[in-house]
Amino acid sequence: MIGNDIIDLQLAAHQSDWQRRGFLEKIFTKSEQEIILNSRNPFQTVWLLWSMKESVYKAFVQQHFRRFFNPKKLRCRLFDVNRGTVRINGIEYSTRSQVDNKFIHTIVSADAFFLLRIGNSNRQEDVYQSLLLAFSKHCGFQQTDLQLKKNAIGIPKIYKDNILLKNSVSISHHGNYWAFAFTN
Amino acid sequence: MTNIDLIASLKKIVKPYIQNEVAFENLTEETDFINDLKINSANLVDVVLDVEDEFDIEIDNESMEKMLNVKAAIEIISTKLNSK
Repeated sequence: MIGNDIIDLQLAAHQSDWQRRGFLEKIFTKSEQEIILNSRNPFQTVWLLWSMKESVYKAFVQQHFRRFFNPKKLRCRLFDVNRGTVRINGIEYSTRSQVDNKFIHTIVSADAFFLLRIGNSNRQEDVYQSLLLAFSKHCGFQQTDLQLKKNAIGIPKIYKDNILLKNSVSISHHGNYWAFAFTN
Repeated sequence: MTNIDLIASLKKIVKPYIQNEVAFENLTEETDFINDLKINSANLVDVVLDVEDEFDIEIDNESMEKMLNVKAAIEIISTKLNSK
């Protein structure tokens, strides 16, 4: 299983008001709120923790096939801007984040080997094509033999000649940034 | 409030956050906020907060957990309104 999440910070600033009454309390635990409010850049920390929760949520849904909306159930610990853990249902996942002044990206993977790409585009089709190209090169397949489809609960899956491949895939797209990752 | 009234109010609430006009125009109880309306997951928090303000109710985390589609949202709002 693999999960990743990217946040276009310019779009996040426009789409959400993290200082809105009730916003932090709905999403973040008390200790997460403290991390945010005591940080040098609370805006950045809000979205760093959010991307950690989202990436782990995506990986969790891949494992458990059940969607839900309860960000507080995913509890973050932050070691530094690039490393943290997220705990849910007694299981702790290690996350790796990349913080730029334009975007924040977090990835979690149970598999040691995976391929991650981050890029620029606001078109979903570009992301899908880039993913299939990278995947075909990585596996030595013909890109034209591959299809990308989302299953009933929205998890992306890669098919070769209409046969489901077992690689875990995670796609993330926000504003002008996209990222995808897949396991070996 | 009937379900029709509730859906109409909910439609007004979600409108600023939707990214799929067609799905929004054809909204039914089965419509999924994220998969169909393409509401950004961080904006789902705004939907919950707006619902709380509009109906003067509190949506606890256990209820929020299920609020992924119109049907679940309507059920939660009705339950909270009835227990007021």
